Amino acid sequence: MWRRYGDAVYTLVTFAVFGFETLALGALSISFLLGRTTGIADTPVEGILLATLTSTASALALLGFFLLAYHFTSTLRDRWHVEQLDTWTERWIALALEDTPAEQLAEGSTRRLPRAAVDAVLSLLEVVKSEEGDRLKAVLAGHGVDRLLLRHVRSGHLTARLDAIESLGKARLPQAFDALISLLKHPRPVVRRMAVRAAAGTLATMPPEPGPDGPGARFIEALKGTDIQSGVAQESLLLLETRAGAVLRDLLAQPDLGDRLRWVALETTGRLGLADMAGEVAGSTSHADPELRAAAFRALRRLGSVPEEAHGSLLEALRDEVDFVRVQASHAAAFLPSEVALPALEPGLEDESWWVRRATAASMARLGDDGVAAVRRAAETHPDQAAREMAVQILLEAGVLDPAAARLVKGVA
Amino acid sequence: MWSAPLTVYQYVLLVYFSGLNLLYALFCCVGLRALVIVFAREFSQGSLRDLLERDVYKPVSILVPAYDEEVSIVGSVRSLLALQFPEFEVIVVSDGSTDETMARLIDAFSLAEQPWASRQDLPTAPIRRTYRSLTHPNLVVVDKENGGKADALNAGLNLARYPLFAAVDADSMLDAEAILRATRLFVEDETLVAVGGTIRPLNGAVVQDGRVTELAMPKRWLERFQVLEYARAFFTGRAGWSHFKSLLIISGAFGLFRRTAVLEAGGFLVGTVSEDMELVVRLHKHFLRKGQPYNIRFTPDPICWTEVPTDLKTLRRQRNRWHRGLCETLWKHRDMLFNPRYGRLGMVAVPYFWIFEALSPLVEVSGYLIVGVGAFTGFVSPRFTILFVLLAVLYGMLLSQLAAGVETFLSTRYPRLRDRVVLLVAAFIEFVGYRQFLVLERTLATVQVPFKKGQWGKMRRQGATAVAAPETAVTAPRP
Amino acid sequence: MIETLRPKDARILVVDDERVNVVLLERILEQDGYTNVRSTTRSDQAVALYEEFEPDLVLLDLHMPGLDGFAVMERLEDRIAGDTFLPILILTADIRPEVKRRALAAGAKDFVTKPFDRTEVLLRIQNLLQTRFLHMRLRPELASEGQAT
Repeated sequence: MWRRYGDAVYTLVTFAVFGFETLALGALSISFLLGRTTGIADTPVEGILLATLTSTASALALLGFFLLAYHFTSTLRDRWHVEQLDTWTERWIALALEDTPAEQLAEGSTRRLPRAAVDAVLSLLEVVKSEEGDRLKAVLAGHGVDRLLLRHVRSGHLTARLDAIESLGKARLPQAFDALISLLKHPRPVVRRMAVRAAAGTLATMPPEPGPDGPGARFIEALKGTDIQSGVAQESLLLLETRAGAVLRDLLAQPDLGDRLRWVALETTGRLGLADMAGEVAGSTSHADPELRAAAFRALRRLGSVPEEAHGSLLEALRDEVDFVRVQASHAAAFLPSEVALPALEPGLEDESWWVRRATAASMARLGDDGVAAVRRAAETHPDQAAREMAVQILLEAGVLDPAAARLVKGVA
Repeated sequence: MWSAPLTVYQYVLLVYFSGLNLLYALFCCVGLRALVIVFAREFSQGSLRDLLERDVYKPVSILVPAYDEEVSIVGSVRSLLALQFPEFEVIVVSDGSTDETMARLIDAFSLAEQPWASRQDLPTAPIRRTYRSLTHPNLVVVDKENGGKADALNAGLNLARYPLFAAVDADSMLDAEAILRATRLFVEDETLVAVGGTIRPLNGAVVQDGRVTELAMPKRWLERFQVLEYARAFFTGRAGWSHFKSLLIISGAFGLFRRTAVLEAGGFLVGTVSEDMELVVRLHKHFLRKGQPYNIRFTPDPICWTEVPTDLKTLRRQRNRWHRGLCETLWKHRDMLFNPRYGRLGMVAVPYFWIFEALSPLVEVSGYLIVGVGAFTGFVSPRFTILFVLLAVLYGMLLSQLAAGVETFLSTRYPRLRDRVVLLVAAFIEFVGYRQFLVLERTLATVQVPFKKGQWGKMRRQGATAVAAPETAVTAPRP
Repeated sequence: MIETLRPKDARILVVDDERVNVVLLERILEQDGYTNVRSTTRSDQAVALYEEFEPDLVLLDLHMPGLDGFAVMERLEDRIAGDTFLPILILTADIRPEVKRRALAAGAKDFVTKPFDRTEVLLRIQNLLQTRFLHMRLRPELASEGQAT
């Protein structure tokens, strides 16, 4: 949403203007005070006032002129950039579709590529892979773009660094992987965040190298040692695309895995629907931390299955003292065999927590005809009013009951 | 006899003026640098698209309190339902509307009544009926007894089922990526409890199918001044406060909150004129007392459009209401003033709002009076008076220009050069009448605070200034 | 006498909001011999273009501002005669399994994630067109209307 050029100059101009104004106002205040208390006529004060006035007026003119000039030039520049982008895109596409081997393109010229050309390549790399993608990456290497970006990443000014990280994230150049990983130790959080995303994107396209020295393992080590928010860690794992499964499996197998990363791994496994990892997930269902227990059940629910080894902990979790664990366990119970699940779920209908009651009723309704029948029974005859209301609500949402009938059922206001 | 106190007061004025403008200047610079420049890179189009496509989001309940909004409600709800976001629900709460609001909603969205077993986390005025849409399963409409905007929001909150909720005005028009951009911050920061967005005046824009297709400055100067004001308030003011973790105001037109946090703090307060600011201050208080790490931030991405008053009367009422709300909230939480228990907030932000926002109209008016009287009695030389006033005016213009400048960096800025010139000229003309007019209104408001508690006043709604938006539904109704 | 339809004469419509993607696909198709390709970056024009151009295959992006891929498919559903086989190939960066399912359920005949492999996309297009032409050949009355000019 924001233009990225001219902001440095604008900041400089702003700082200059206000720095000067600060000094002027400071001088004015002091001179005013001095003028008053020492009884000197206020002509020097007026003099300073006049000076400040002039400087403010000129600052105003300067800023105004700068803004109009920026507006004008940026409109032109944007238009020109779009044209250039189109031209370069056509050229790169033609190059990518030719049969030139990638290695040949990597020996390219030392000519520096303009910004639009680099942007065009990066946009194309987001769309196409395999031989065409390799050719484009070779072009970047051939023109030294990768070296330039790496230089910015290692030592640049903040905004240049961020731009470089973003570009590397799009380019997904294997040679940039280690530099990105090392940025996970950077003191600034925004750098760490962007670096982890870019690193994950890059890892997704790197050839698999199992073993403790492979990129996957290095990524996991870096992840364990860095301080980033769970949400960001989750994003980065999702950016691993087809590589995610392998990395998640390794991650969950780590003996010294911290709680936060474990939570992230469980969540991501669930979101990606990696059904064959139900076993690894099941291991966390009896974890000491309730957040992790809940995350494990949530993941199992998303994976659509509860392995045998987790049955016991699930049944226990339905009576867990922490409410959100009960909620997630209740949801996951929909994937147990109905003869086991129904009797275990029923008491949940009169749980004190609204969310638990809802999850219970919803899961029961998903357990086939027996389940729906059980919910109907509850709607009509359960002694607890809240339970009856929830049962009716669930039946309504499932389309089994129509609103008119719902009103007639006992207990609904 | 008058000389000593007058001198002191003049000095106080000077310090006040300098201090205010310097603080403001600091905010401008900080806001520009920390927020816009870094923000722009982290949340670029590409990275957002990536995230949208990778399921990294938290679902959102959008609460829309409505009172007598028959003119625009259908259009607003339609544009909300068209937002680009994977999972969200829209809960419209008609707060005892006396016009055709409910009828139009029922008609436009095939609403069917459905009894609802809701939680009663917060007490509200009684609910008459709850409806669900047959064509849009994520739309819920509640018809309840009148209780005020805060009450309506609380009722919506009772029904909301997602971890985050957005409180929007019935006439807010959200950018398609609004929710995505705002929730982005929650994904990254687990301690975040509230996010405020940037609001821009819709006047003058061309709207089609619920989206802004062309942006142009409005024709009336009254509206043009407001464009400038909003730019100043959001791009410089709030950006700065947010950076210093002392954001006290999140606009009621668009705010995104964590449901559990708001419930913990007690929901919206009924009977106050600016429930949005009151909630934010209370959230700060609650978490500071609790000693729990938390964060309240602001996103400079302009993601919400709203129609600003086009006539003086409505404008006056609005500003009167805002100022009363500010004073009411500050007074209610006066125990935070200079209270070290509340850290930076109590020692800097709250005092700032007391001195430079709540009491500023009084100070400004007194300033004008003193300078006028002083010049008249010859105590202060007339030349000094004129020069001083001129300096104040020029400095204010400088700040406005700076805000207009930040707006230039937006890719969705006012595209025409002519409009840019108009904006800069507005920065000048604002000081010749408009500003003074508002200062008077706010002074009046300050005085009225003890008498007009919690009163809303009406706004004359015009409907969006638009090229006729085709009233075809985005999704054809299913048989 | 039923004329043999050459798949390379097929009319292909490309709908994607990113100009880069559109140009890339056009060049790829051109290079592979498809001469009859139209495209648009405006999803709201997709349906009108469909009616005017009558393509044999639609390459569709999912995430577009305004009308997204799902909305476009829904509108096309209303306009396609019941017995016509219109192949829609979805090209998207979204890897979520439920999105894939939803797209296939909404009427897409095949699904390719970005970044894509050129050869794979061309093969899938070829398969879809062959199926389409086979379908048309088995319905003589439609075949005579649908001949490429």
